[in-house]
Amino acid sequence: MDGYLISLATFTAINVGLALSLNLISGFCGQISLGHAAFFGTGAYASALLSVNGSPFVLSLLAGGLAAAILGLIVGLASLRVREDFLAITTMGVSFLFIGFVRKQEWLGGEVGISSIPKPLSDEGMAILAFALAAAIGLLLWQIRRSWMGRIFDMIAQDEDAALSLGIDTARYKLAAFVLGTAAAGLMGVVYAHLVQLIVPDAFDFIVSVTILAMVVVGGVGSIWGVVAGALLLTLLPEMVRFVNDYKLLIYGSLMIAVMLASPGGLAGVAAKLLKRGG
Amino acid sequence: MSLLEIKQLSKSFGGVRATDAVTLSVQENDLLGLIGPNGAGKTTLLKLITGTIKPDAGRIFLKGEDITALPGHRRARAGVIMTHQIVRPFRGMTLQGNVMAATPADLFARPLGAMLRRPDAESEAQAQGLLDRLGIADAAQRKAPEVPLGYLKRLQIARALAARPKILLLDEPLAGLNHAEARKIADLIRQLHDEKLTIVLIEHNLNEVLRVSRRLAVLDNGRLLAEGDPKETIRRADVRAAYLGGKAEAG
Repeated sequence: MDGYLISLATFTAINVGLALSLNLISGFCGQISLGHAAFFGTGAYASALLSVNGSPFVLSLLAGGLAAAILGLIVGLASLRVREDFLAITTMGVSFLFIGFVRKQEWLGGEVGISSIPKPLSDEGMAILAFALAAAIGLLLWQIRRSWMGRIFDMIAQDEDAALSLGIDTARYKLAAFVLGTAAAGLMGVVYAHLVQLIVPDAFDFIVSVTILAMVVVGGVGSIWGVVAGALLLTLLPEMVRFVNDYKLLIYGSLMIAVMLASPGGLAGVAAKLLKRGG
Repeated sequence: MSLLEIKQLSKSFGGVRATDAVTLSVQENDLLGLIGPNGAGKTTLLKLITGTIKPDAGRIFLKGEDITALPGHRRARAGVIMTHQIVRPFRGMTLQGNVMAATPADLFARPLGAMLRRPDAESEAQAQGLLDRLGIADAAQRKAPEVPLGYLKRLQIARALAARPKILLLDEPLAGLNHAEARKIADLIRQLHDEKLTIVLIEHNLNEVLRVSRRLAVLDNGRLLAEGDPKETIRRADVRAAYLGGKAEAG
């Protein structure tokens, strides 16, 4: 198979996994995050550091997920004190802090990042790994959606005070959402780092956070299939249409505004409406 | 022993004493009507009991246990459940979903347990039973914003009952309902009381409060003005002055 297509497929799977992991935090549990790339980056950096020092890939993979989850827990704990717009600002701060920190760290390669990260699998193997992880995250979300946890997330997203007044320990559930969602983002970061073999701080900047958020918003906040579609669209469109790639931010931004104004349910909302009309 | 005991409870908002050294106890299987003019501090008192707001001074005991420092969700799990004057359903859920939402609290203190278990037919049937009891089972599958206020008022009570309250705090459950509807809900409240549920009822509809309450407490300017048998208490001169003649006095 064409090397370009394989790599495109792998990047697409990584983006699907990232978008789904953010959907768990922001879509299911209603905790807006503008700093998701920081967790993606934490997974990438932690695993890269281990792998260039001779750690077996499986260990790097687990460590990447764990490191992201730990940062997620810390941000989650901080987020318990703030809500909604304040949470958006806080998580945006996390995104900037991450880049600011990594850039200045000699042991993380500073501006030039970490290079010569060993690739553990063939190109096809990496693609399969990325797909398997994205699918696993999708399955996790599917299970959560059908469980009591999904209902409780939904309660928190809709009216946190009401959930509290019914006896729900909302803090604990919000932390659970942060830990699960950030661990998943960390795993995708591991795949990314070992695929491109060279990571630099800018690969995890605020623009990346916003791009992941755009996939969730365009796909439909809280919808599993919608967010998968959103990630596919925003990954493949710039690849297929040169013009989109040149004006990526302009187009993502316009898309988000258009969705908010015209169909807050995103692609999933549009699909639901069409199905209803058809039925 | 009292089920709920409030001792010298005080709370100020920017210099206004919303609750001023209130001492009050609610016996097991009581139906206490709580009345007073607007701004008397009735809702504040209930919110202090549920833990939504923290008192500046004083203590709250549930079954003799000091719960003053207990966070709101823990009090809810201990059985302190409140409904609000302004209905707040989960807008994205069906009425049945809203009632089911109240069931998992004590089952799912741990998120992992909640992730592994799915809502089952039993919890659905339970929710349906409560909707039926409140007379709104026909709208079980409709989303909250699609049904009229009367339904939402009843939904609040159904949801509160699903949370298995030991003491139910109702904040103006009859507000916004027409005469016949209000009477029906008041009857239901009395019926719940007859089934041994302990209830505190804030209500402006004096007729219904006096009709169903076992005991009456009157708040005025954050202070407990009077407490006792409903019909005797409402006849007291100071109560009439504060509650009924409040405006005349102020003018």
